[in-house]
Amino acid sequence: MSGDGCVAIASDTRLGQQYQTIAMDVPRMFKMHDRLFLGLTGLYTDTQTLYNLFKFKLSMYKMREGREISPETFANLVSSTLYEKRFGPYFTEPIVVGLDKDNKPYLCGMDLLGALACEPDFVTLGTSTEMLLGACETFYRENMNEDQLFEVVSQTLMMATDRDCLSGWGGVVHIISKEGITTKTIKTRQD
Amino acid sequence: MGESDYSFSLTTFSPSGKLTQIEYALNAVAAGATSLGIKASNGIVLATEKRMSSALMDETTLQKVALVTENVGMVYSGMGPDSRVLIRKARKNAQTYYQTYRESIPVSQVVRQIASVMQEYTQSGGVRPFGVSLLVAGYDYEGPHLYQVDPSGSYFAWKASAIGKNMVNAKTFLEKRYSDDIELEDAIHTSILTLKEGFEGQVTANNIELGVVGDDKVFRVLSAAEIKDYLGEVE
Amino acid sequence: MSMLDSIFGFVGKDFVICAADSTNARSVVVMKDDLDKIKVLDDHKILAMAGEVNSIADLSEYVQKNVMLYSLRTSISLSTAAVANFMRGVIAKAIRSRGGAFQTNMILAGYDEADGPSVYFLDYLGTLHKLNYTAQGLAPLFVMSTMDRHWKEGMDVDEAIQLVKMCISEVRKRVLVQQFKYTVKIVDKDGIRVLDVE
Repeated sequence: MSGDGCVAIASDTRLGQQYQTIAMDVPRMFKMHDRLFLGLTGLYTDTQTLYNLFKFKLSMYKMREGREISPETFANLVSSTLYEKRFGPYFTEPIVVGLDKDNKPYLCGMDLLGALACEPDFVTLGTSTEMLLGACETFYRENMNEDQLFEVVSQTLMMATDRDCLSGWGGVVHIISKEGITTKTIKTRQD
Repeated sequence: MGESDYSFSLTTFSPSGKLTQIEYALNAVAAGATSLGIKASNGIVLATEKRMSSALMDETTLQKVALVTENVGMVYSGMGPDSRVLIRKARKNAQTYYQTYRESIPVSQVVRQIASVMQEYTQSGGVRPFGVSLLVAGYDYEGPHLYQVDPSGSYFAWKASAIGKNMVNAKTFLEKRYSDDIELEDAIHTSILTLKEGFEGQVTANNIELGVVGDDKVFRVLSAAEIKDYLGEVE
Repeated sequence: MSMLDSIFGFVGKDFVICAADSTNARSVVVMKDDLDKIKVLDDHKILAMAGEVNSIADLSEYVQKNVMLYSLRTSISLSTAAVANFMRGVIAKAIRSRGGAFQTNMILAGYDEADGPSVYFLDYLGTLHKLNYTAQGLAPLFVMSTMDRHWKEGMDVDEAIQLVKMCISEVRKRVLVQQFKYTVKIVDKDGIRVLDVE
């Protein structure tokens, strides 16, 4: 979700095989650099594979070009990488979130084939995407500052994970602003 | 055991540490028509002689200054056919980059990739080095850049450079004329004057070619009419 | 895939312990009741595997030999985390390959000088996660709750053996397939030992 010169990304931390919970501390948002986060929902093995792959690609990009990748360019890189596997895709739906060089928020979500959907306000993906959308739509306001953004994002996440049995067991929120990244863990219903 | 004994194999060093074939490739470049490039504070100009071996040739169909992508162009000195291979590869690389990132390729990356290709042809079996030096000009997110790439695959960024037959005189001329805050229009005039210095015969709008990229980030090859205007201003 | 194995493992104070049933059965027939499902990867790492026997043999041998090769080439041993990530890469590559996925879910457990004991959950798709305690096969249905309740940080060997016995009796009581014998292995700074827990 975007705020005024800041942007937040949040996810739950459950790893499950359908009804069975395997772990409750699983990271699915990854810092790609100081102003860019990649969130990967879906099949966890593909989440891990893709994170390793993008880490590799970004390191090569940084060394070759001598600069950090911009969020929009990275989103397009993710999109082309996913589409390369059009007929045998990675079963993950990514969210790319970051601040561009003018500190303007950039948000976009993609489906598993890499179809980009860039929004100025908020993007949701995962098993409870519809519930999250509803909650975001209700609580979102334009130009929130960091504290307000954190409140809205964590409340939204908690609401949706309360209702979705496949999500939950704790949440993590990262807020990116030009000063830096703040990370907070939130305690949701432990079921 | 002179240098010439080692000059037949590309992949053998001579005793003094040179690869003689590459030296000879540079000779091929030095025999080609002069090309030059000047980096201004707000753009770059590339200029070249269009040398016709006969008055019967239709010079309007010959284009030496080539567009690589919307904001990057290049010119060569040396063997024309060799340059076409490199231009083709550069264009494809630039589009592949755009397809992955949907962002214009930075000039340094175009140059890096082309230089890497040229280097491969100095260390493989059954091939010879490219007989061209390239001047690559572009305007990317960092500003204007001018690079020169040699047959060995080495590349450098330049404020102003010349390659080909008249490069020594041209570079001396440019050294005198160049200043760090030169504007694009000035640079175009300077490039025409530099070409004129070593030109055999009269410079007309049809026997030189100019390519220009400004801070609009669009590389264009100037039309004959535009060149005629500049020639008029320079007289 | 039909997984009639029960394996589980957890971390103690300065050791890891893994238990696996020793039954090899196919539908109603018990073919072997003394099968060791806990493979030894090197002096300080064990891999408990549940699933198809051919995949188990394939994958465990491949990993064993590569771990050995690395230590021969470089004269240092890989850490447990390195082996876990190496395995994840092999498994994730296999799922989209012509040969097909390795039909086995695993628990990798090891003891490193630097990082201490660690247990990794590794499934047939390549999902890798470091945990304090985990189970694969039929065991999770029954044993995860037991471990949720009774596992605690810094258990010593005796407490660990108590927990293992509790888990085994839970599985024996509730699983239709008779699982008589269990292999239990413990890894600490001195290496790997087989424990007799009955």
